[in-house]
Amino acid sequence: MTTDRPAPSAPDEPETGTTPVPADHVPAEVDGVALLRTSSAAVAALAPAALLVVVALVVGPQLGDTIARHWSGDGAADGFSGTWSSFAVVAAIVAALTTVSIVAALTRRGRPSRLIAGGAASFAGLAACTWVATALATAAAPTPEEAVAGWTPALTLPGLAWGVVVGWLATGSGVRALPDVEFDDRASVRPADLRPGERLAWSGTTGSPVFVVMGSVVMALAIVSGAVLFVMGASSVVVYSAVLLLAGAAVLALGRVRLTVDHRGVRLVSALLGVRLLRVRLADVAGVETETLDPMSWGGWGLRVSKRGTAYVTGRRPGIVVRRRDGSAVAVTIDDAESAASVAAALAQR
Amino acid sequence: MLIRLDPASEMPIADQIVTQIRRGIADGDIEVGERLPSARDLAAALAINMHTVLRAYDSLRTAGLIELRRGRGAVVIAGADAPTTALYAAAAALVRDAARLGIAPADLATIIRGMT
Repeated sequence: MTTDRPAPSAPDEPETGTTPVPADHVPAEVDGVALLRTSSAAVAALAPAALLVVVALVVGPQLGDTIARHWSGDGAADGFSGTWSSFAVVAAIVAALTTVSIVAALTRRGRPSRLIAGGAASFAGLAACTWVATALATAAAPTPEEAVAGWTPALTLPGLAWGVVVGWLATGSGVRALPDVEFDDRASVRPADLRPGERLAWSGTTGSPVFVVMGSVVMALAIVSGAVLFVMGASSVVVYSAVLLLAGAAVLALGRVRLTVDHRGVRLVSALLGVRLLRVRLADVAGVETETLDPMSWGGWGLRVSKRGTAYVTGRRPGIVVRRRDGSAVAVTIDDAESAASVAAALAQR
Repeated sequence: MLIRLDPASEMPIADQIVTQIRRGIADGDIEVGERLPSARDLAAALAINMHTVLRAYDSLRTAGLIELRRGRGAVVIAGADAPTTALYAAAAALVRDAARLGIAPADLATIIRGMT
């Protein structure tokens, strides 16, 4: 299959050997099907932007200075805005969402790639089709005041549905990490010495400015798109902006977190929003280790669920791994992981 | 940051917290700019009254080591100066010497208290 294909960045013989993997060079192979689907997803993500431009070029000359933007209950126009000012706002939103969609399709893998690429393409399709619908309805009438909605609002549905197509196509990058790349620095820890009745509380913070910036940008995008959709009369779809707002808050919550180890167990709480993200009770702890957490083997960056367990990962950094009695695991990248792990091991033994 | 409370100790709980945070700052374990856990959270972690933690934080604030701000919690604003670091090193040496003579840290503390 792909084993005899020369892969410039891969080692000569990626056998089951014991050659240590350089930290910055995860071996990779090119997957033809994934590459094709990823490129198709990126091209498909451009469709809403293309539709918007084509309609603006074809229908634009027939439009005056104003365009109907809101319809009363019987389908007659009762709200208007500037043709090209509304186009500029929608074009900016579509451009931003299209960028997000394409970047996600090209850089993320698996389900995150599908969700982000598809979700952003959905919103882009919705925004583009909303403007296209009003442009078509306005162009079909002698004056904007006489425009009727007719069938055009239905256009927003295929716009929204387009995200499903993009999401289905997206598989992530065609370059796929070889499975089971693990870093062999896993180490058990010596439990901290405890005196009878002694109470211990370990606490440390970690985080990533990337999550703060990403979360803030997504929330700002949600607020702007919500306001624009509302002004354009598509108030029934503002709920999608609310969903986007929540998604942004969820990412922002990961920006700064506090890990605590005490009689309540091993807990990870968002320092920014105060929400508890992870918890292992002491009674459930089967073992505690330290390990350099590799995003590739823990499902990626952020708060992730993978075969190995649930993890908060800010990068390839040292972290604590807590194994539960039911076989699941919780891992967190944190400074001074040994100290946290030795306290957790000691408390769990008591 | 690790806080240990020894119920057998004669030292009040708030003082145990103060001593350990001071030592953490002197050792460099706790860095300038680091945010300490909120009083509510640390109290829950140690299963003690929140006012005990607040009393400890207040005495660290009076000593100019941390800053307390509503909503932001306690932030370490001063590192250890050289004399303080030297004092902690001397105290550690004293504890080691006492141990060699079979004197436990608690007894050593009693000796020191008797001097004042």
